[in-house]
Amino acid sequence: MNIVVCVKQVPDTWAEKKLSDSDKTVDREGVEGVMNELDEYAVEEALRIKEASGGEVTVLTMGPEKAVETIRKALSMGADQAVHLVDSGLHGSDALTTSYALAKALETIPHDLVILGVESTDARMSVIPAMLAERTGAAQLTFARKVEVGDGTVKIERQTDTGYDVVEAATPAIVSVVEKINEPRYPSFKGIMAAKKKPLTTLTLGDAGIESEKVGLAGSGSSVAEFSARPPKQAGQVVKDEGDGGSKLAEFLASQKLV
Amino acid sequence: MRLSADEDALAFGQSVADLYKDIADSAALRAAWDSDAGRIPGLWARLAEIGVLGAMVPEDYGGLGLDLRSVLPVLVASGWNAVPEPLVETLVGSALLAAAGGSAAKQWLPAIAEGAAAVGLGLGPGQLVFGAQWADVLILRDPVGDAHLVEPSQVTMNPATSVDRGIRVAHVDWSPSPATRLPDVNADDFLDVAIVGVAAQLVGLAQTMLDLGVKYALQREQFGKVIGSFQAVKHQLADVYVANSFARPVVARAAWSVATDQPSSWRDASHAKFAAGRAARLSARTALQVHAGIGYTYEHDLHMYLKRTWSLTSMWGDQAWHRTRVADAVLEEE
Repeated sequence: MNIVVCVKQVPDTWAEKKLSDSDKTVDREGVEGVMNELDEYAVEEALRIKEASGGEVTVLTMGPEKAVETIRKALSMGADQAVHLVDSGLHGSDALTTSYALAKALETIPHDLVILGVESTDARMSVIPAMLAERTGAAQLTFARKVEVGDGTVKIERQTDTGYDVVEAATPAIVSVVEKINEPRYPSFKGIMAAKKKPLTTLTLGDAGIESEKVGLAGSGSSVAEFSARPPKQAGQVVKDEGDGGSKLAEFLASQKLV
Repeated sequence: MRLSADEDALAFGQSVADLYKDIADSAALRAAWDSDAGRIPGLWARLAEIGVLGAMVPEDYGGLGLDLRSVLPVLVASGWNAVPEPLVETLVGSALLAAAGGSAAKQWLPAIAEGAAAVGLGLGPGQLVFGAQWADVLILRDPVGDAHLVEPSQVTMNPATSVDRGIRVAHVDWSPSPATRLPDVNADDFLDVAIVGVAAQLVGLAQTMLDLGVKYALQREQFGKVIGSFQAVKHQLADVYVANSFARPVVARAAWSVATDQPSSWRDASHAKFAAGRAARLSARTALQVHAGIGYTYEHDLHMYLKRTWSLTSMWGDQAWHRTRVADAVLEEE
């Protein structure tokens, strides 16, 4: 089974994220880029399926030049090859246009299965897997906490608020995985060395047959009109104990309907 | 002559740093300190898996056949987290066994690479054996400078106490014999490898304590301002940064000298340990001053790093010993 894993480079999970003043997109210059944490689970799941039942794992990344660091990490973990969709015309694409660009890029890679993390830690939209399924006509198997691959079929346990649903579909399918589906491996030294020799294909808009007016800031259906920093935390209320501290506390808790 | 780590070595170090972040953070270190075993459960096996333990084991024995330069970033990362494992001991032990070859190499190197065996190392100048209580095999120096391979069952071990609960060290009573002697190796050459290994850990450790100090200086307020805004505080932290920045290339140089077998290896190793030790001590002292009393309490992470600084700076020769070695080398040249 040939698998494509969509991997995104995001600003360091713990870094303070900013929007740039000029075009109100995520500022990726000033912070360290890392592999979206949830995509690590997707890569690991793809590698496990490959190790159990054969096939090839291809990493697909859309992002600026710098995103190649993240691609290299996925290759170091054990993916076989990578496709990097990189074009200045893609800058500022929203979820809808991103799904269009990814769907076009997917057409260039033969595959049975696409695996993604359930969301990215920067945009946190969580809609790309569903949009990709819609655009490609593949089955949508999202929020998987367990993935089983059969002969031309994929079965998942879809995480819900109260438990899980078992969902099964024929390939091609789009699977998104939730955190803790597995424990992602760390690149070994051998993996790091091997990654350098693995094929990395670069696609521009033209290579992937993407119409430039349908992507980027201008092509996006949504735009950021205005943004402002989160207001600083308000100072708390100080209760001074003058013999009645206990009852004042009780009053406060009662006013918040906590007691 | 390239002294700094190459791209692969840096990626290797990053991979290990990520592993430590996930399973060997300060909470895991504290749990190790509070446990009888003193180690982080499962960490050794993971280090073997990603190739750290076999890094200096030749490829013929299931390792990667790298030299000290390529594992330097890994050792710096191990310093950040004050990782409580016999890492330097085992890496140096594997390099020594690889040089000795023969049946000892055949017996132990594959096990080391797989994470099935840890090494305890007693190469002097003192009589202490580091990692002894954790070891499956001991490599010891005799009075004339030969290296010997001894199994823990063949010796009497008298555990020594350390302020650092993340290391194990013991006095070992043993008798060298032709049967235990490893041929063709000079124990002192590998003492230099160990010295540089610890120097790399000290550089990482100095960075951790500086980061803690800077973070606290940006939080703690006094006179209505964060204390990091006062020159008396920020200049001290800047001095630590400078000292550690100056130590890094010295350590890289020493790793190069050791890896390429330069005649100046011993001098460069001592220079590295002295420079890194000085940066780490300055970092420890400054971080403690910035934190004030709270930094000394057992409950604060800095406590563990302070003690690690003390244990590493006195391991494989203290500051005075290394300074004297460098002085001797300089004076000899004149």
